[in-house]
Amino acid sequence: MKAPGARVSVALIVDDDPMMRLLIRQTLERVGFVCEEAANGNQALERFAAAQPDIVLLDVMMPELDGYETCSRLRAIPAGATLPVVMLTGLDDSESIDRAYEVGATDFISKPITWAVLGYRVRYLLRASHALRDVAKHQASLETAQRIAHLGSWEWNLQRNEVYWSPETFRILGLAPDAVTPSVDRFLAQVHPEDRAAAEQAVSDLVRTGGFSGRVVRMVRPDGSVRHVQLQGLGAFDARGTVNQLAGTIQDVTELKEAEQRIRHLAYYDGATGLPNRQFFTERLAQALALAKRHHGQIGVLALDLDQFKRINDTLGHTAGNELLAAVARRLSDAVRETDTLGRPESGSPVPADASDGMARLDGDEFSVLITDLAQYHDAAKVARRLLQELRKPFRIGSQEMFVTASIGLALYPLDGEDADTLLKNAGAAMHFAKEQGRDNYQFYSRAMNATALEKLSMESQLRKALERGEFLLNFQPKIMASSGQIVGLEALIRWRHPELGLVPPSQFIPVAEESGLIVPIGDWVLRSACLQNQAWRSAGYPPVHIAVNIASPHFRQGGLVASVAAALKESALEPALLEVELTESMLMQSVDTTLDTLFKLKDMGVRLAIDDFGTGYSSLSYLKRFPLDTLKIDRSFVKDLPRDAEDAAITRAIIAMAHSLKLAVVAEGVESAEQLAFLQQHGCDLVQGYLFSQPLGAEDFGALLAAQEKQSAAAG
Amino acid sequence: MSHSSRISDPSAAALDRAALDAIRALDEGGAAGLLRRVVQLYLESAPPLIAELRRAGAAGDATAVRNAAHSLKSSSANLGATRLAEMCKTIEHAARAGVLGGDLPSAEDIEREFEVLRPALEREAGRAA
Repeated sequence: MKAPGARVSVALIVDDDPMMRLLIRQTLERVGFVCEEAANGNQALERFAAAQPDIVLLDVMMPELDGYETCSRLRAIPAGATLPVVMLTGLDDSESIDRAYEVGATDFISKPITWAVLGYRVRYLLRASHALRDVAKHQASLETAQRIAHLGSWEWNLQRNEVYWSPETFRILGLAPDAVTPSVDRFLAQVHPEDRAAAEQAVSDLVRTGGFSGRVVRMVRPDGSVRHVQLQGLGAFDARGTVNQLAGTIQDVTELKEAEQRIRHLAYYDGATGLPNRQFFTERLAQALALAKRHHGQIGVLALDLDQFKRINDTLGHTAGNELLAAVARRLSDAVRETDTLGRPESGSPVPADASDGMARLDGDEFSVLITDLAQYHDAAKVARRLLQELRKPFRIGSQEMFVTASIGLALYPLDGEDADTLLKNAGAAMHFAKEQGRDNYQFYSRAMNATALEKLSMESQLRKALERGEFLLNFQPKIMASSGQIVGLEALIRWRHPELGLVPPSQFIPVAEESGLIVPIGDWVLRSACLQNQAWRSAGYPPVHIAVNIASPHFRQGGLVASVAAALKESALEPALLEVELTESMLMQSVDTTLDTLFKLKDMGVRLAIDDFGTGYSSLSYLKRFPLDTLKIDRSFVKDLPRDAEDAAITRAIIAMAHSLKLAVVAEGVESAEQLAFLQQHGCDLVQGYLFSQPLGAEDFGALLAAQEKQSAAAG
Repeated sequence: MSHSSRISDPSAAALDRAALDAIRALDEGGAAGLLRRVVQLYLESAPPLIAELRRAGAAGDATAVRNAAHSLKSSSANLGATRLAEMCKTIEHAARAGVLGGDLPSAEDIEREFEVLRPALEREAGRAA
């Protein structure tokens, strides 16, 4: 073997036997070593620093300091810590071999030494030691590089399902290497819940296709902190083309993300108030519009401008002005956030999203609110009213109390525009109109909407007054026995006679009453009045008729109905069997348990129960069977085209048959022609109601009708 | 087993020529006079070790007996003095267990064997040089 090139390796030979030293030296010099000698352990330690050996050959049995102790002490010196140390032991002595390894020997060579092999052995040991040192060095520099780049690496053996994580991977995940066994499940468990599906997808893609790149997911460390990591992976395929080994990187890109976020924030947010700026708002609006177009949704854009802010600014100075603006922004954001009608931003949107997403500062004292998922146009007015109300509360800036009002303009999609610019422009125009109207108010861009909103608002207060002023009255429509033509019942219908507007149709005021909750006191009034009227006819000596009262959904659902009915019966002293309450299918099916409870309570009082508008809603027949009903009213829409429309005819026949099998009386309403009546009679419909017999009548007229019938039947009898 | 019967046989088998050839092989053509120097070191170091064996054996100093036997065993084995190395090994192992004298080879046995080896080694060294 030739000398190994430029660098000469130094061997330190430690043996008390000069003959051994001579032979070893001779052997090693032949393979290119420079040899230093020491006759015992102490000498070896003394000469170590000066000799700077690459390898030490150490005899075990030596006087003074033996080989074991010498090895231990060498290991304690920094330069000796990783040096290859070969101990020369007796072949017959396994105990000494064990001890040699215990004290840190790299290897041992047994005596008697085979000189021809010794050179190779020592060279080999040195090379292995260099290789190890290089690996360690590379490892260390790789780890340093990984640490600087926040780049961890991992490997995954699919066959054995063994996972390796580099130290930096552990660090990124916030885990201690000796406390956790790396596994794919362990990794997935730390992925942020919102990103877990994506991460699982990435893993399954990786296994299937052998690669993915660039996916960024959020990881939650055990301490709760969240890191954004970018994942890359590559697979190795076996001969059959399946992936059997995967390797990849995990890079912590949180700081990068945060920097991006900061840049975005600068670009998208207003520094003074922290609110999104015009740029952000326009993009969000465009996004919301795209979504609304797809789902046929409605959107409101609200432009808000503080009234006479310039004056405030000029009087108090810019600092106070800015403080006031920030306070206004906070109050508006809070109010907007609490308004349910506001849509929530979806994650993964190209523009940053946060809780005050719907709110933006466009310019100076001009703010804007985006209202998505608008159920009805006038819900936008609710938001506007709420904001105006919030602003009216005083602001405290420094020691000064300040009052601020604002003017608001509303533009609606699709009514007032199809794109962001048009909507913003029209909301602005409406806002200026609100200023012209005397400030501290809101205006819709569309004048028609203004009228409707105004109407709704005033309708509500008018309705309130109507109850106090006694503007409501009842009309009555008779129910006729189909077979005999005899009046056996009637339906009470509410009318509103407004002092200026005259008669207001129920279709106009009932929705407002339901929305405002006024329907409950109005319903109570109807029940009470109907019972009193029926009892008045009884007292006047007319034959008994049952009076039907329509119950509105809020009245039924809010649970006060049973008490209202009891009170009406008690006050009027009407026989309960002469009162019938009419309920719609959808009301009954809404929450069946509560429904059953209410129905049985009413039934226990002796009140008749009818299901109204049957056939238009969704009914479960099995529930229908459980309800203690008396009457079923076929909706007028099926009656209208009888008997020509074959489908309606079939439905009507089926409803009658079904009702009879459930032992329910059947009423057909909206009967207007003799043909309709003939058909209903032919198929066994019990009662009919409609213009064919009588339009709804006032109490007096109805009383006259009853009197006439009484006279007629007396004459017949 | 009796050691005396083997010690009394002064044959060349006391010296393993292969060991000597291995040393010669380290020293191409004998240019460095390696074998001569090794033999010389051996012949110089062995008598004091034998004297130490005798002294320590008489004093009952097992540790000293063991160390001396160990050293002589190693160097003897290196030169192919296998029988002498074997005898030293027997003494070393017994001494490690605290056993001296008795049936073991004595210092005199060792010395006799060494005296048999000496001319053979000198002859080999001379031939190498």
